[in-house]
Amino acid sequence: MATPIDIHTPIKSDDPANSSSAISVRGLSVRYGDRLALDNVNVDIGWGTIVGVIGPNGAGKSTFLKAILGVVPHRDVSLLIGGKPQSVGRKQIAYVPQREEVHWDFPVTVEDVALMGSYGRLGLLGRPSTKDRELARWALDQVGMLDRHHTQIAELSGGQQQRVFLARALVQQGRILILDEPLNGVDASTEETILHLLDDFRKSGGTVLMATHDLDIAARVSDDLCCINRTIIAFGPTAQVFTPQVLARTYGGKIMHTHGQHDIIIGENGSVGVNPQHVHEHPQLIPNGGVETKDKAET
Amino acid sequence: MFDQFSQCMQQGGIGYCLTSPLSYPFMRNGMIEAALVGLICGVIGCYVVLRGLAFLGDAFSHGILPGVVIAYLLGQSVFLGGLVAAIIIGAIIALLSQNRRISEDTSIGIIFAGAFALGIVLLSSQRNYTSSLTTILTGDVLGVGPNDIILTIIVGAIVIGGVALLYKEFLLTSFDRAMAAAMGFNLGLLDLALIVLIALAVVVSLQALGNILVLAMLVTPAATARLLTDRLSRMMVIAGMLGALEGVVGLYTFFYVKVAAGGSIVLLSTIVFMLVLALSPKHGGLAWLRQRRARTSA
Repeated sequence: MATPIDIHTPIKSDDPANSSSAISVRGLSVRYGDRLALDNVNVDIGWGTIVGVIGPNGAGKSTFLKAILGVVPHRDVSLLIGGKPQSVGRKQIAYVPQREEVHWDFPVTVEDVALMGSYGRLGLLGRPSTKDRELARWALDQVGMLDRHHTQIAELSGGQQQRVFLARALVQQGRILILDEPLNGVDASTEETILHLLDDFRKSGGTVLMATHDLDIAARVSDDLCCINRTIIAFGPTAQVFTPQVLARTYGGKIMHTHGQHDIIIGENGSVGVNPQHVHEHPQLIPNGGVETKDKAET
Repeated sequence: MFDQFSQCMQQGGIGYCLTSPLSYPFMRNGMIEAALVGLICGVIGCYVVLRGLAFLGDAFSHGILPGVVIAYLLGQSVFLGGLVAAIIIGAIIALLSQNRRISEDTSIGIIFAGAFALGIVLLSSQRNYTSSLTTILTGDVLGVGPNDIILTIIVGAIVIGGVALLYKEFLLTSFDRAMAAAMGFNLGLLDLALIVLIALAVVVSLQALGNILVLAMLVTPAATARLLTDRLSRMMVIAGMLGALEGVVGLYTFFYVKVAAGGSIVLLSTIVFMLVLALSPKHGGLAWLRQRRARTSA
């Protein structure tokens, strides 16, 4: 690949089982058949922080989140959630999955979906209580969807569906909120609502882990950035990590300079991001010739 | 065609027409059985429809034929024969699907057609082959005895009880598998439980509906109910009631029009589906026309 670049060390502390961490991962590898999706990931994520997980398509962002959630088989891993083993600590996690994996035509209303957030703590024969229902309505109010609580979920717009999914995650009452591309295909006002709620979540001491392909948003809202391409390329405070060198390594060394003041970063699989900083100071990273891209810089 | 019906209307009006068939024990038992089977298939059928499992249901209903035939030839319980066959073909399909070169629907197709052929070959050695085959394939709801009804009630309690107990689990795993997995639900075990409940519903319905017609009751009332509501719990209630009602009305049709009982039940459910499809307020053809007119005029 490109010339050796100073990589931020992924592990902030050598203390094993750092109980002050929200999430602590050691030696995480995930294999899908013959393909190694994640290779030896080590990371410690603290409390009260928003962590943006960035990287090109197929680089393992979703896999990384799913490994923390405990839904992909992994090997040789020490995975602590809130200082406890994953199987116990998982109860502290709230989750907003990718929209593509959901059966939207299923006959459930907005309120039903929000209430699903309580299912994880109910046990085999448990039923949602009045308190759970109140919580669901409170959460729907938080995301501005309470007045649509009787609507079938498929009748909502993409942004509204995502608000309901965020409400469901709030009903889970976790201290760690994991979101997989939550801003994909949502309108501007939903984006604002979601980002505002993430900020509130952090202020109350919770930790947010958000995978996104939108570098602009990631850089704007994240306290820390976690750059993934099969393994952790860099992890640390956004100001230190969001540099052309790290991004170039994460996205396979292709940074395209396009018209206007903005720089576009192209991943190997065509994922696009905007880097507002300093790319022009590192002309050696910019291959000759422009590439036609959707100009996301305007947004 | 409706001679007998108009005759009884003249004799004692609609009330008399509805009660007089019940004086025959075979009609009483048949109606109870048809209503039970309609209820059971309607409720579990909601998941068959929503999860896209119609092909699997079809595979079960056809694939258990050899078990039914063997039970028939030995004079044993059709339910037991079907149950054993369902377990065997379920296991074979699951095993075949482990091979990455054979997709699940391919293995279902191979096994169900093969098993069905085996059943036909076994039965074809019999002298009264054709009439036996017809009875097995289309059922004999009028040949149901009190013991069959008790068995249907027990199995129905298991199926509907299972659906009620695992309501939130089946709901979440059907709607959003990623979330269900993240919450720690065992997807494989829940899928297996659902398939077992579907297989039980199919097998217990064999006596009344036969191997071919059972699929209709598994799919049609549930699909009709989906057109009428946007909530799973209501969909199950509507589908169960529709299935039971269609079973009973189908038997009256048999009694007064003198056509096959099983076929009447299924044909009736198809007609009801078509009517609802045309008229339902939200998802039906009329609503579609109204929306289209609103769009073009806007």
